[in-house]
Amino acid sequence: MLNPSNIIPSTKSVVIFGSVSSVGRAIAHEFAKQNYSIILCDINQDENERIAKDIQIRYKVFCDTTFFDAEDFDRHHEFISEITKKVCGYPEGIVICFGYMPPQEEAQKNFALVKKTVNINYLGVVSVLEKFLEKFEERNHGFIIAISSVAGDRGRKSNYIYGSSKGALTRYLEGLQHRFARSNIRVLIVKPGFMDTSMTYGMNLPKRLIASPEEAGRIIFKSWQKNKQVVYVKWFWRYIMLIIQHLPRFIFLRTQL
Amino acid sequence: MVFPAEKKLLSGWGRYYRQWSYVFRPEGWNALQSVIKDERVPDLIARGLGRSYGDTALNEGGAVVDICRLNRFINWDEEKGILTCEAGVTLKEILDIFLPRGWLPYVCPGTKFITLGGAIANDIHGKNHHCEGTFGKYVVALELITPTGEILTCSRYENSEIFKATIGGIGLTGLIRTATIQLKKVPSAYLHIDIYQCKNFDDLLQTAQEFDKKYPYTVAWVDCLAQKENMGRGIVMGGTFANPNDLPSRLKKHPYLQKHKQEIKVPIDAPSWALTPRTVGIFNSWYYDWNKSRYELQPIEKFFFPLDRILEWNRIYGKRGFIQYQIVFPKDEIKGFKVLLESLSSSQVASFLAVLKRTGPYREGYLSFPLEGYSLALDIPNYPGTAKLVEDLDFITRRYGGRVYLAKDSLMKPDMFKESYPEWKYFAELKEKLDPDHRFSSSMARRLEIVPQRRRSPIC
Repeated sequence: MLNPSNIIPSTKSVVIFGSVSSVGRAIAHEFAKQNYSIILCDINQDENERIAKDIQIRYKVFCDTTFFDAEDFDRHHEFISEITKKVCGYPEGIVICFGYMPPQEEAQKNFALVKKTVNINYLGVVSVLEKFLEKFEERNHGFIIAISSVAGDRGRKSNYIYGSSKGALTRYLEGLQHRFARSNIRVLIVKPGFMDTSMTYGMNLPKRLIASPEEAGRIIFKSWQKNKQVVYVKWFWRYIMLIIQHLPRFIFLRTQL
Repeated sequence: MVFPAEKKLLSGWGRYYRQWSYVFRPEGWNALQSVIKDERVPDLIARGLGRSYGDTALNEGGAVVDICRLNRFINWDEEKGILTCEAGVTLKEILDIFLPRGWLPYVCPGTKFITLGGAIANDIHGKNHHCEGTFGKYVVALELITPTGEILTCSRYENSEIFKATIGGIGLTGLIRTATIQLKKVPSAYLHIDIYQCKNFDDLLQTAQEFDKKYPYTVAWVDCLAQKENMGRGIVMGGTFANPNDLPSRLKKHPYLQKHKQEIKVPIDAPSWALTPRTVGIFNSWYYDWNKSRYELQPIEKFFFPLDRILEWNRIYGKRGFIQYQIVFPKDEIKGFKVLLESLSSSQVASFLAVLKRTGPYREGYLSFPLEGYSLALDIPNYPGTAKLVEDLDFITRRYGGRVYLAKDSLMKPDMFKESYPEWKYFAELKEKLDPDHRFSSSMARRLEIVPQRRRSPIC
């Protein structure tokens, strides 16, 4: 019988926020393969527990779950102490995979959706990260992998509400990179293009540009191993975004992007 | 909550039919359950990796539920070898994780790119059918989401009727959420293989019979294009698992280790002139000559899944696709087999090696395929005369009391289905009780008149 209590937590541990998302799950698998102890945090606790059990069976590593609501800022403190109990101290690293994308047209009319978007994509991340960073800075060790988006690179009419929240996140993470430039704390900004997740399912995106979650997980994990600062999933998005960012305004404003 | 669906052009592995439908892809149990109640779609069918050849997992103008994202292991009992997992778990995943620990599913078909749900819904068989039966035999229990949205635990002791209908029930009884299966402890990942080259059909049948007594795993390849005195020539293979002590010294310490060979992908649809009786004939005789009678040690991958190294191999049949024709004859009707083979060889259909397998009596569900006798599977490229040829073959099959495998069928007529699967009546009765509104339906179910034609108009 595979009993979680028989598995001794490995000294390396990682906390994954938004682990029920297919990318979060894929990244968790990559870390599990390297024998990391894993804490999965998500708002959907039922699914989260199934994902944790799956990781235990597949990789025979320590894997536990915690309920986490990104919008519930007041309870983030309790939540962090719960995690520190589970991994006996602060984790080595944090992975942020949660996000929310409202339909653009609805969000233009409904401010509640905008609020939710900013709360989850920006404020939730900042609230959680800052609580860990103090400790990371003290011990001068740790890593952060956070999923932002190519949508944050330039505001476009088709997706600017989601895009602006992700843009803010990117700026915040860049700030962190600057802050920790001389220390042993690494921040990896992930900018996925289209990924084949439940967030984009049904949008009929061009097939060649889409990355599967497993592929994305592998790419992100490898870039982390290679100490990269920014990674685009897949690689060509760097150049697509480079062009979009540098299009002169008079041309950009005429496009249908 | 309404979950998004994507409009897609789907086909079976044979690519004979291409049909539009709305595809759902649930990633959690809530989404899976809500799909059943979705009012927008007239009916639905589950689909895994799409390795059924015909229209089993197609639903033209309706909904298809892609279960591939539900691929989590729920529980594993290391002592007894009992595994519970979601229906979208693939055989490849099970092998990757449990073979290094010494466990293998009892029944492995010719490819590992299948899902657990599909294996159950088609009650698949493998090279050990004459000894160990079908996949359904090793299903301990399953959780079924019925057409009314209820969750039923089914096993041989609980809801046993529904259990029997679901195994081999081509997905028409509901959605399988999880299943519990028994795995088999194997001594290593290698088999001793006995290969025997047979000159003609009589030789082949005799050897196949002998091998079935000697080996737990057997299979034979028949060259359907060989004529005259060579007619029905082929290769018979028998295998049995090797003990670690019998392995070469480098493998003794790691008996479950297999060298991973790089897969090759067929990059494009082959042009229609690539496959002619001539080119295929050259391949077949090369394959025949190359497999001289011998003993050898083969890894599981090579013996069980020879075609898995070539990804998307169905593309070599070109854009028009092909039909896979698999039938089984009862054991006293070997004559029918000969007649069939004669008509194949005289029509010179460009079929690559056909697979011959002696099947045992074991079958689990009402619509399970195997009968005690002989089964033959061959590929027929789609050309203008194909439908006619299949009709002729169906005629022979019917005359000698044989039946066609639903997982591979594309063209069977409803009256033939009803005659050759006499238990369909029990199935239909149960289905009517379980699903009075015909919520679960597929292109195949409508073609074979298991489910009546739709009243609502198709949505795409």
